[in-house]
Amino acid sequence: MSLVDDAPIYEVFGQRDALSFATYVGSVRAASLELALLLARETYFRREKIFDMWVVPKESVTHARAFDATLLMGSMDKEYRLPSGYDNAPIWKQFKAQAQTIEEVALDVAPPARSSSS
Amino acid sequence: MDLMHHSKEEFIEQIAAGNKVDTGDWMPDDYRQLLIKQIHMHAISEIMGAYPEKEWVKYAPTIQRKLALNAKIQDEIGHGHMLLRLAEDLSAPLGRGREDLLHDVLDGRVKFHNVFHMSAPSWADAGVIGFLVDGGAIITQAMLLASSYAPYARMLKRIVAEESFHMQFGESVVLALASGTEVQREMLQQAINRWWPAMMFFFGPREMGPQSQRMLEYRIRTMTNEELRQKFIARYVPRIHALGMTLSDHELYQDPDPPHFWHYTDPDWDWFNDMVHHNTGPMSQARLALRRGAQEGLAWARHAALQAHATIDVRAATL
Ligand SMILES: [Fe+2]
Ligand SMILES: [Fe+2]
Repeated sequence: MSLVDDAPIYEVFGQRDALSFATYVGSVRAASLELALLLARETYFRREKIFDMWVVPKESVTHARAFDATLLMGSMDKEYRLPSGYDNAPIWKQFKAQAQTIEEVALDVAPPARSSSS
Repeated sequence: MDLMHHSKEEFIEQIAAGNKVDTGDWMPDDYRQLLIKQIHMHAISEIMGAYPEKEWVKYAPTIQRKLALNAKIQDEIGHGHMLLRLAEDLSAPLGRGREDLLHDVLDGRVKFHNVFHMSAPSWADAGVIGFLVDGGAIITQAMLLASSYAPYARMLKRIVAEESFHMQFGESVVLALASGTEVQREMLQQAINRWWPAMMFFFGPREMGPQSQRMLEYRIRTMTNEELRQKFIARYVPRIHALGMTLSDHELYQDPDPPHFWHYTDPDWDWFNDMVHHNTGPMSQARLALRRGAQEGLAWARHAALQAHATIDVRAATL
């Protein structure tokens, strides 16, 4: 094994702006945290403007798939847990009222588009 | 991030320019205090908000309703935990941790929303909580998506997405009752009568106190109490009337002239204030007793779990 192969692997996450969630993009092999950040920027964020980057030592990441009891089983019916599981609009219509969605409410109270920073 | 300079004036300028503050960034002490007060109260209210609905899980009329109500309660407890993590990070420099923050409600050191001190005597109350209480909370929380404190704004994205189901669930129960028999419609009417004045109080006094004013200056929040209440009234009065239900507030009417302000009767400010400050509401003590049972009665389980895992880790390390 070479010195290069002995260097640790870091998982890389990018955060597009202050209000977005950091997303996993890939990994780098580097000799230190600082170098991992540098390499991550050069490898994954050469073009897009990025608000923040995280690098995490690979061993620090624990995968749920390694512990089968921790993941949700796919086939269960969870419709009752989703907004799409409710068809209220036709009933509101019978009462001659408009159905509302949370997106409309959010738009209704959003500040005027002045804070378009970055 | 490190754009934030160590002076209050520059900090306020940065925020006014739309910049966000993150965990670990420098912030003025009073900004931190206001955030802790807001997020701590929000977290505890999510948790206390699960209790009125929990009462109805075993009486829910169908298995679908039972599953849904249970799912909503799980969401609210989850919201409490997400927000508690933020309050923990903010409180750490002050030497206060998670157990302190959870204990505070038992010692009366943190308030929770007035609506969760009220009783929910019928199934219609369970529906009206989703319809009006979640409806009101959604308006407030959607406003907070623009908060200057980025961790709060980000967490609220997740929370608001889940609230979408709460809104549809509450409306579904209310619509079913409104489409039902005279007995069901009367039950719904009674529940609306019970919750309306509590919702008028929910958004806070007409004139905001100095702390809430500070929160506006710091853009922790972006709308006044009255602006939020007006949004709520404008959205819900027409819906309640469309269902053929009435509101017993005789002062309730909308100005025909712009800005079309809605007039309404003041809730009993003193009664509700006493309730939130001294836990004197109809159900305050009963629900705090449940919370105490969970917090203190299950302390042994939390500690046992922590100890068991500590032992396993030590064993793994020595292998
Ligand atoms: Fe919630
Ligand atoms: Fe909710």
